[in-house]
Amino acid sequence: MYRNLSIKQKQIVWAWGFLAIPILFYVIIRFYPTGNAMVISFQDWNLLGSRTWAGWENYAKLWNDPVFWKVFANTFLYLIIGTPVSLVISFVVAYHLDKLRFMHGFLRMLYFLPFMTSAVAMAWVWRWFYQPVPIGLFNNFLADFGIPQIEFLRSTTNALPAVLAPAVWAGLGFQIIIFMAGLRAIPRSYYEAARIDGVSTWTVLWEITLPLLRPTIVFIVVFSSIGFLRIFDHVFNMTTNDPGGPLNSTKPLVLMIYQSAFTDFDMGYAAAQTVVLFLVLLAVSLLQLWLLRDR
Amino acid sequence: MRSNYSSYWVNAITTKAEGEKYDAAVKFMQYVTSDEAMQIWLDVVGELPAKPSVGLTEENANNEVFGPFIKGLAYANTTKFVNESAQRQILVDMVERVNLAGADPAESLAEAAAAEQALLDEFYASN
Repeated sequence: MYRNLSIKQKQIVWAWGFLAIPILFYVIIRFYPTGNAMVISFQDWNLLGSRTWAGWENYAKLWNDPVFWKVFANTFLYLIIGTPVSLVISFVVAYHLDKLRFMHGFLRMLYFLPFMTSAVAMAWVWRWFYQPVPIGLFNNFLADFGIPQIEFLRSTTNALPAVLAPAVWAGLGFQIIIFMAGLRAIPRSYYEAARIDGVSTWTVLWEITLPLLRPTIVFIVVFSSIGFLRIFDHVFNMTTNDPGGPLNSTKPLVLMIYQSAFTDFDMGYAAAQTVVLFLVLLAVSLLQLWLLRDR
Repeated sequence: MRSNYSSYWVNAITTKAEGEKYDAAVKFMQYVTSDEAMQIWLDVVGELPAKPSVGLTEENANNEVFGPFIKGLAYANTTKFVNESAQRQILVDMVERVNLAGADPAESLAEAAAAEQALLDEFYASN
């Protein structure tokens, strides 16, 4: 049969033969579990016993669970604090680093270093930073200047920003690299024209640099939003003795999913939360793409 | 009221064991729960025996190292956990509500009791 095909057709067969491998891989590794999670969200399952249909029970439980709403709010706090803060810092750093010639490569390496560091190691080092006096770096520093102690992790209000800080820092290096690539891609001629016209630095920034960086900004906003919406490792490692605590004040949705699934063994409930997270990620990504679209 | 905490191990034979393996397992269980084996376990490993006939002998109860622990078993209770980490979390939250959120201790305790009861009810309803 293969012998009777024309060269053109044979090429198509081979192309599909190669393409089938990643497609198959994705179907088995990604799409099948996603579909399965959606099915499990309508079932009761403890990982070992039989699966029984539960209807909308898991979603009703979610709706009536005060912890879920707290966690939902936390997840959005990570997003709405983390994304703008990291965007502004990374842009400011990239903007100035771009103009710098002295030790440019070394500084860029320093900013990129946290991105390559394991989140677990980083979280534990920051956890040490946040300890009270005589141990913690920050509180020791405050004490040297006679400033009152700050409860970083053992506080329901300070814990979330304290956990977020290393997460922002960790992502900064990557965003700076992307921003610098974006800045380099802006044609020099625009800046030369602006200089001939005698335009101020601020106007150049607002009218040339930022509008032309739009695709870069869209990419970084979407990318970092997704990252903050599924934050887990920093939170889990900085609050291991009361995961997501104190009093659920740092618990993100992914940590709640993890606990429902692997400490409560309530797979149906965990799957329902996963479906909610999936819908939130989808909605946020689509919203951002729409808000930052090319007009 | 006098109360003490203790936990225990449970050994069992799987439902899939058959024939020779099953007989051997029964024999092993009979041995491991015998007075003789429990005394060895206490002397060599240092874990307290489960049977009063071994634990509360004159010699063991007056041992200067583990004697007090053995005497404590007479009024010890074991908490049955249905979900150990969730039950621990309820207790942690109870203390944190008082320490960090300024809640009234009695109210926080009542809230923890209600949460614990809800957890137990949910477990026994489905198991």
